[in-house]
Amino acid sequence: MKKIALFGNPNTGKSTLFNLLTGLNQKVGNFSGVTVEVKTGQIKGALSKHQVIDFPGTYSIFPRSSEEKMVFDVLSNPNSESFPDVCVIVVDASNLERNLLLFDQIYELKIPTILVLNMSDVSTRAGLTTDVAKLQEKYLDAQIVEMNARVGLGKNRLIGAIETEINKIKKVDINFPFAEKDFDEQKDTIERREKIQTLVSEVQILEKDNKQRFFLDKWLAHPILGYVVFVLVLGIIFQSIFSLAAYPMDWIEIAISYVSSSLENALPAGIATDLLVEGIIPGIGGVLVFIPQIALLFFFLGILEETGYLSRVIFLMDRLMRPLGLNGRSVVPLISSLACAIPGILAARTISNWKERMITIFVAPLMSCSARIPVYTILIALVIPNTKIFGFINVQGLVLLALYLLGLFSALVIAFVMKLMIKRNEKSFLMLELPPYRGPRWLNVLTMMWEKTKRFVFDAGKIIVALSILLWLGASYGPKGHVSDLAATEFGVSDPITANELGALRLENSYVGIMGQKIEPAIRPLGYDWKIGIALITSFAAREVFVGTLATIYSVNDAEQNEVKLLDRMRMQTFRDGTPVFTMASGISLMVFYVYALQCMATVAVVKRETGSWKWPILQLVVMGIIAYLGALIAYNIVA
Amino acid sequence: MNTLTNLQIGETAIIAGLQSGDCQNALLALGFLKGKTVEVTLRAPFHGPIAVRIGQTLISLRLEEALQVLIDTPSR
Repeated sequence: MKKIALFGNPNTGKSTLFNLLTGLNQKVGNFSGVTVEVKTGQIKGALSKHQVIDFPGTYSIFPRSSEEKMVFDVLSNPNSESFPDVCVIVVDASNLERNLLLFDQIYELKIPTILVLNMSDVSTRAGLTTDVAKLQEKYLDAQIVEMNARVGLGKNRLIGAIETEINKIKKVDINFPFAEKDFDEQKDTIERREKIQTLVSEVQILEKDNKQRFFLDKWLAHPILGYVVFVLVLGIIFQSIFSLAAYPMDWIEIAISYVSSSLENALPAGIATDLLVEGIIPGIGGVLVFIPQIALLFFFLGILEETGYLSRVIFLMDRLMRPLGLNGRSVVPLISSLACAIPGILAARTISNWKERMITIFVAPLMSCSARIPVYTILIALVIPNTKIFGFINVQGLVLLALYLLGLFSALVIAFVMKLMIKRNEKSFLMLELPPYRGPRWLNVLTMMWEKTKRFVFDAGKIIVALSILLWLGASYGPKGHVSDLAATEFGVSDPITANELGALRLENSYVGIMGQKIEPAIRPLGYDWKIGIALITSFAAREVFVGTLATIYSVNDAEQNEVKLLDRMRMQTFRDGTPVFTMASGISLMVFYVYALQCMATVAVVKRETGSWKWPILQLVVMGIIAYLGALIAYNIVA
Repeated sequence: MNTLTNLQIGETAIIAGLQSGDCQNALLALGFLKGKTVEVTLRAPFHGPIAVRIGQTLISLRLEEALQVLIDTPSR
């Protein structure tokens, strides 16, 4: 297997080319020898046994962010197994002068190299003519391929070029001058830049300017209108996500409960069936149900990125984010976290400054993710009156909005505090290209949506399913053994009771139930009883498990179909002294708790991986836990 | 000496050089080379970043980054 590496500046159509070559035949993964993840894939046909690697976009071989560093690391080590056999360098023909720097640097390494002159339709419209033969004279060892990756033109020419290059024998003694001790980066770059400037003036004639490609900036990047547009765009996106995702989410829930009830009937009763029906399948369901919202979010974010609008958002937001220790680039991770913190935390990779990246990762889980919605809605329905103020503002809706704003506001405050506390001060850069506006390439949008969703399913899925199994074990077994084998008399109950009541008794006597009772003294000041304690513990798998657990504890068969019934049961709950458990005070206290607490093991695992140590996730878990506890305590005492 | 930050929206100037600093090499990589023509096309509010057109590219720079780019007398 040989390695075909794709390099290029950002916004050159490199990802489009990668998608064109590999289709959906690609995966994200750790690439041997480097810590950062890259996309790899295969080309269909004769080249299918070789690997295509899509490296992060970079302007120069010298890195600025940890993502870009990978290009330098891989190319500087010819002996490593990740060293490419063929380099494909994509350049935007309408931007040749800037793009050729990276090519010129890599060309010098004498690896078999292909230069893809990507002629976007905009470049032809801009009245640009390129003398390819003359360019070839300057770079005799490279194959030059003209393409229009956007419409798929020239794909076969490129594949043909790769086929010729891949059979060339790799030179053993590739030297990498850029890593030598006395190498002067600045002098070298100036020399190259000057050489390229002369070269481009010889091979390219520009007939007219391309100002009209940026004319939308007049409104979209306007000092006032720009922000209005951004808020509107966000509003439309989230409105669409919530209204459109509701349908597939319902279908997934119906399908999951259908599968689990038919399996329960079809399989012989026993521990294995219980594990499957009560542990594994609900766990998988808890992952699948978020797919519609996450896929839709990345569909819209993909469109924003493809059209060039997202860079304008970063441009406008940078000044507002910086006093908080964040960066304009933090906007995308924070928006993504409104669906799920996991893709949000991964998106923080584009932030080159270490401190700003850590702060972004740290506060991302405070943005209200979709897993909190079921928790919020049931609690709001329970304790907030369904009335209107001024005749049209729904109080329940207002409370939900307040919870979102509380999360956002707290994220910004904590970011500011962290900015003051973290002493490390390396220089932070923006230097961002604002690409010309263009229509989205749907293949890219769909590939991004597919890839991000897949990442979520695997990253969060593994952990949620594993924890669901663990929690099932804890809820099925107690000191007396397998609790579901125990009859009512074993619990000292002699009167005939319903199956549901028996189920609740069994849970109470399981390890999880006992844990809930053990932590009751700690959570009693917040207004919770031990049953809520159980739900707090189980919802560490994912926040929405809270609702399902309450349904089990309160002996409701199926929370989804019986929300009204669950609400009734919750209203009837009392402490041992007879006072009701769910009051306005304890309800609001629980909501505040869920705004802050890092009740998501998948997030903890992803933060560990992204920051490379346990320090950050543990700090995050503890800090957010303390704020959650204190916040809930204060809320309970104010309201009560 | 004038720097890029002195340019108003719509003004162009020729780059006279780069001041030494943290992002000098990154600016070079992006194409900020002595003799190139630059035009400021946007300014974000509250002294936020500016957008600079250089050749066919629009690049946004923070003010402290733009301070490193020295220019000749601006012209409209």
